[in-house]
Amino acid sequence: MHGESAGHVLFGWNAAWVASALFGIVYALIIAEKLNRAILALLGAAMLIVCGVLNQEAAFRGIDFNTIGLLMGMMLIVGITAKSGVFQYVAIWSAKKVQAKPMGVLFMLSMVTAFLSAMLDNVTTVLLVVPVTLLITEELKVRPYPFLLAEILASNIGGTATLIGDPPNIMIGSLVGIPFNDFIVNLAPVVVVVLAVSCVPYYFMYRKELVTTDKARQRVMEFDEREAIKNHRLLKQALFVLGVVLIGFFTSRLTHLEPATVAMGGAALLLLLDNFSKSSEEQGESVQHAFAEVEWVTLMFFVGLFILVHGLESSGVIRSMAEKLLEATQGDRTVTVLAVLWGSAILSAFIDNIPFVATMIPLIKSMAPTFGGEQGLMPLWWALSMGACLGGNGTLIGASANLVVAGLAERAGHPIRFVTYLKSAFGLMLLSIAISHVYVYWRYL
Amino acid sequence: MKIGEIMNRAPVSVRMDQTFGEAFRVLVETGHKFLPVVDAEGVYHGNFDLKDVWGVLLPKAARLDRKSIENLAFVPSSLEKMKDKLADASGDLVEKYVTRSDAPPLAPESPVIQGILMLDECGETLAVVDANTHKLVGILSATDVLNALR
Repeated sequence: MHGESAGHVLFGWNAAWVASALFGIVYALIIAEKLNRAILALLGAAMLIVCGVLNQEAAFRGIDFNTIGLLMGMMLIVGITAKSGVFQYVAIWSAKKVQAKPMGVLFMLSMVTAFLSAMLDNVTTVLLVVPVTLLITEELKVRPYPFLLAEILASNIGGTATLIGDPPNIMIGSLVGIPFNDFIVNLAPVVVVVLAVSCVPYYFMYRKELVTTDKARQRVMEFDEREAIKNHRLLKQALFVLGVVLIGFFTSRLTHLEPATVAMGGAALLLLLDNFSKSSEEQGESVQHAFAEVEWVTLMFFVGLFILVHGLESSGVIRSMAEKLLEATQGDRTVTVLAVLWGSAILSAFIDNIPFVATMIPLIKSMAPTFGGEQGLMPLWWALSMGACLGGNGTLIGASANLVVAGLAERAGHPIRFVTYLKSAFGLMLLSIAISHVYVYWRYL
Repeated sequence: MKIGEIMNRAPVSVRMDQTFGEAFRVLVETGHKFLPVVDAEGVYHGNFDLKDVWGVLLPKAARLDRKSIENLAFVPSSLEKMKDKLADASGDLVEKYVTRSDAPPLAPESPVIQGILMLDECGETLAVVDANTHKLVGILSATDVLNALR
């Protein structure tokens, strides 16, 4: 213990055992999916304090408010921006750019999804792109599954490219203090390659199936994307604020502003612009609506999780786990990096990558002395990011975005089955990790 | 006062084995927004209403949830295209469209205040069924209640 406990652990139990047991139970229950993960994480965190592993002050120190603030700020900005209709505009525009030819639409919507996922969170991206995709495939009279598969994969691949693209990256960036630009410089190149290579199998898998009539294509070509913009004033304001926020992220090294400050500042600015000319009643309703778009369940899950992981860290569990991993890899950096890459990918395909990454971050941090300080850990961070983000593509339960797409598809009458998805996607996920393996080895080892 | 005393005892209904086209025609001809659906024995199974018609006219993607497509102004539409969609669906059986109301059906013995509560929560018209046989015995509309209060 490091002076962070409430004084003594309940019944004189060993703090490391209590922290491990509570974490293990919460983790198992999250996997079982019988109870909401936010309830479980918060309950586990409360138990940790009640049992005396951490006191409240220490528990709060474990919460990374930079991650919470960044997520909340981006959720607010995206929720307000989405009301303008700009994302539908982009999706329709991209489909028309390829004359609404089904295979072309599949490629274009994949690119749009990947690009948006790099800038927004993956769940939001698929919530915006999938309905338009279903609309287009309904008009083209083609099966939507190939398009949805490509969009799931693209959302997780695109999200890997930036600090704000996927929750694992947000956590790594925030908890390790890696700047926004470093993510792009180190991860965007491999993301572009993975995205391009992933498109090749789609062509061979679906080219015979994805055919339509000229009449159906004509119907899509008649879509007027300009009509998708519902609020031109809001569009201008949102694009301005998004631009400011992106500049804020890119220049964070110079300005020394943390990502949460940039995102929350941007959200506040957009709320101000959107509400400036409204009456106080309208402002109340509008602000209420904007905050209702924030996914509080996700944020509360993060809060509970950070406390649980801090319990493991302060009771010495993480340190001993790191020692065991180093023992297994014999302290060889190459073996450790590749083990983190492949291990993260396989595990993230089956379990929630957020608690996994939350556990791995302090574990990797504690390896710094073995690998020559913080700089020596950089390949491990990139391996963890690629493994956790791309691994989510392996199964339908591997990432939140996958489940959201499956839910939308089911409601539209096109259910995606676990095994069907596994057969199409697991191989593509392994391919993306193999590419990452080569990239990491070539660039860092 | 009981619902049985003020309800419409001769409701227009459609059968499960009738077609969408026939049910649509009944909606248009009667001006009703809601039709109770029964089987050959007269047992109540749910409703066919205007939402079923809108469901045929709108793309599926527009009816997924609140975060799906809120704006369809970019989709070109004409009356002819909409009529084509209705024609495509006209041969479907009503069975495919029948929706069960969230609220339990009212019984003729239920007090009117219960009917008003259900009307407030669930819409303008509700089916009234025999509590034992579940056969449709009437419908209760807002107009029936207002007429009784006049």
